Amino acid sequence: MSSKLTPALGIITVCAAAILSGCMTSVRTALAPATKDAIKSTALTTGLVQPEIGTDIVASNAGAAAGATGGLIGGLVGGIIDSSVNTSRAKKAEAAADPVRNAMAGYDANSKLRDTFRQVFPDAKYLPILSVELAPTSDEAACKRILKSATTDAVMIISVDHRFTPDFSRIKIEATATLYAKKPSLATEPAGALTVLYTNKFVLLGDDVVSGNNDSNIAYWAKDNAEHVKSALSTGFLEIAEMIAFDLPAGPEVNLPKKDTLETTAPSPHFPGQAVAQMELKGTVVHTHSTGHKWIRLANGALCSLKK
Amino acid sequence: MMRRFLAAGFAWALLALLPGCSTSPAELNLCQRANTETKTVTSGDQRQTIVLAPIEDRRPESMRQQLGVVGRRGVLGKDSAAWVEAALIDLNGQNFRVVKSSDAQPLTGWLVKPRILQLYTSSLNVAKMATVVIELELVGPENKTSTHVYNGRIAAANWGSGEGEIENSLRKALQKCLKQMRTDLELVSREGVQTKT
Repeated sequence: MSSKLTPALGIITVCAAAILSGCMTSVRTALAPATKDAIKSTALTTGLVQPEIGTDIVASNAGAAAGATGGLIGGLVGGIIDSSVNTSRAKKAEAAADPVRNAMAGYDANSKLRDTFRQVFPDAKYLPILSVELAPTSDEAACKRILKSATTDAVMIISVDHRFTPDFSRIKIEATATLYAKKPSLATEPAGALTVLYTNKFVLLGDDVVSGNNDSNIAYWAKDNAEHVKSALSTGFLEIAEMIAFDLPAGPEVNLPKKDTLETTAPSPHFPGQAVAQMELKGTVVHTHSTGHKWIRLANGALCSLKK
Repeated sequence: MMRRFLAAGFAWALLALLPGCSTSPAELNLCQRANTETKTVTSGDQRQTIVLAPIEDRRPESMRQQLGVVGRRGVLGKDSAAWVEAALIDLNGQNFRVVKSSDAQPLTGWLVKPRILQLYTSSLNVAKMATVVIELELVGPENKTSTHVYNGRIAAANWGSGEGEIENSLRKALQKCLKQMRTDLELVSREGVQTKT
């Protein structure tokens, strides 16, 4: 690692931590009934953040935390150490996943996702969804391109991420669903800005089907041309689609935690990263899925599925 | 003196941070040199001819223009299939030479059918990744076939999600594939096609 560039990475880490710590707000915007009635046509576009299954790490922030007690310089030095540790962890996680990805060569997860959504959404009937297409959805410019070419009243964009938990014991699927206004009469933002009519985040934590160390977990997922992964993705994509269909009609009141609050027992290493670090793992069980998963409405409005 | 040093450090660090905060797409120009020249085979060249069939792109059509996301930047690469094809045409070894099927008259030698299975970038925390996965189907004499998958995967520190570093990672990932292919094609040229899938 070039020594002259290392400080930049450290600062990026410190800044990222600072920005994320301020993001403890609701992630859900409910679709207003009057707006829903005004939408006569919707185009749905979905896509995976990356076409192959991703990995995750337990990010180190020990350096920055310890260093911050030594002031700005200490914080920067700590951040540099964290960056180096996190890069090393990411490289190891990526290399560890190679046997699974190699076993899945030729498997088209994106098309699987689109086909699953085509199966669920026209039947959901809450919104008049005319088409389900595949396109890159995970950056702002891509979303703007989708909106520009749309001819429907509204556009639903669902970006889906699928990755192993840091210990490779489970597969985690996360989705962000956002409904944008396309018809000018639905738009409330000034011309050129995006009007969000509905948005929410969804997290599905797959079953902990294996136990042991990372190597034995990876061997489990890789065997038989990664059939276990393919099966977990098939059921996972379906459940995520059903979670979104379930959440769409819910009003703004669901964002508030109920009295019979369930304190989930999900271990924190399974919920690293930006999207889930914002979620308090306290919520209300709102549905039990046919897989036995509990659907939990978190205090910030997000919907999380896991086996209790 | 110390203050000046700190001020310079902060200024530099802010400059380094700016590209990392960018959300505008990174537009890559992978195929800088289109391989359109016709290869002529000299009569003294005793190397095995490997005929390269047109490349088949197995990625979903609507996903081919964007090669993933690094940081918050979408990565655009319109000519990625042509880039891989050009690299395969340049893949020559001690015992073999590669010619395009349109240049091979008559069509003799082994036939290679290349397929792009994956070609994308991604990021995890402060690391960026580039992936190129190519399948080669080799058709030898008497239509004996052999299929191999080549994985080129690179993980490195993400400095600022810049076009240059993303492009460089993709090139390294492709080189990793080509290195494995060259070894296999040398073997095939010497010993013939071994049926293996």
